[in-house]
Amino acid sequence: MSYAGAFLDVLDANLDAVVRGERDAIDEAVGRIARALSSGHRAYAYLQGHFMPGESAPDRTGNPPLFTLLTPEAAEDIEPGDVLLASFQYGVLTEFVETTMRARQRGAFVIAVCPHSDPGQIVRSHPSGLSVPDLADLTIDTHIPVGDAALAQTPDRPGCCPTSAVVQALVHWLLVVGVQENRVSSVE
Amino acid sequence: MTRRDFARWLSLGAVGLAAAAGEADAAGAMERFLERIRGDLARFRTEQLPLVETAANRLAETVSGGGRLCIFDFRGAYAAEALGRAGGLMAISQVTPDTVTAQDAVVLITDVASDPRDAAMARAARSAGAYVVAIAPVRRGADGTAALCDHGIDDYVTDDDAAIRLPGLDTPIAPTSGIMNVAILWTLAAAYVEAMERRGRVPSIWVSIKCPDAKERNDRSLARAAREGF
Repeated sequence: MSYAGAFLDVLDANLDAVVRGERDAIDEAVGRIARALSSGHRAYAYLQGHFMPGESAPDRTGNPPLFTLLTPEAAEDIEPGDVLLASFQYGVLTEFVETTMRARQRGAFVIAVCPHSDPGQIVRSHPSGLSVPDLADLTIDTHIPVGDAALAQTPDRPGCCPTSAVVQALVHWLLVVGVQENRVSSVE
Repeated sequence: MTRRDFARWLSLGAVGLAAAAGEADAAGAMERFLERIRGDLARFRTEQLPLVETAANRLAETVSGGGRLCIFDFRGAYAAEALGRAGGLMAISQVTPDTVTAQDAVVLITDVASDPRDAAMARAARSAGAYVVAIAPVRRGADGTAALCDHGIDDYVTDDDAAIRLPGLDTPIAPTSGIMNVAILWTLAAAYVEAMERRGRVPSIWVSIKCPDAKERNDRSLARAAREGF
């Protein structure tokens, strides 16, 4: 099997795991976000890292204005009844954990799009030892391979070729589509 | 579509999903979006892996001959995904029409079939003598950017890059280009790693900073990438 074929095999299995294992969580997230918006609350999206900030930018083609993009400084604007969608490769960096903690303290319902990682393999940076999925009310597990590497490590190199961006983007657009469909159906 | 229908639909597998497209009208919007992505990924695998291998070999030829592996993306999201990324290549640089040279192999990634910024990059690279492969909506614009490049890998983008229409909304939503382009980018990277390894030149790879021994491993690999160019 070529490396390209092996990458696509792992990606397929990753997407299968999300579709089979996270369907209920995705449905619940859609309902939570749609209800928050229909009752006048905000749905915040906190999407740091490599790909997601650009992929979900307000001027992105086909992106309806559902989410308010959150910066750490703007976390003080969060109010009870708001929803926070936090999508990260792992959700273990200090800033991500701090901001999620503030959102919870201010009464937001937190939805994490992150894997449940092993602290022995993925280091927690925050002094509490917590990660974003530990703090979330609801987690959509991205089921990415360990180290976010679809191709296994060899004696000569580390594992390579991540799947997290594809999975995070897929989940993001599924949520956007589901929420928008829910809102359209409510109007009808 | 009921939950039971959805489970049956899943059991069809990725190729079967496309065959079951006749059910799509009755399906919910999320199911339709998922079907579109899984179908496009299955088509990519069936139709374009030989092209990916060809492009990866050209990239590896350039780099093992002392050239640079480069990326161009005027929107910036794909370059952000490719550079300094856990599991990604250390020796890859952003390039512009002003900085491209004959020693470069360029991966040009774009969501649109035609854009003057992509065209300027492709023309500058080709006239400098660089190799250029585009990841782009190839079939959507036969005379678009991909036609200016050595090779074009199609991302199957159609319908103005918004896959879902909902009743009561004038504007369709949900782009497919981001998901497809990133999937193709990493498939091409995998083929490039294999092509380099066949030449006895193992590319340097970033280890996630969240892994316990990342700093030592990355420092060693960075030194090697700077020394060897890959």
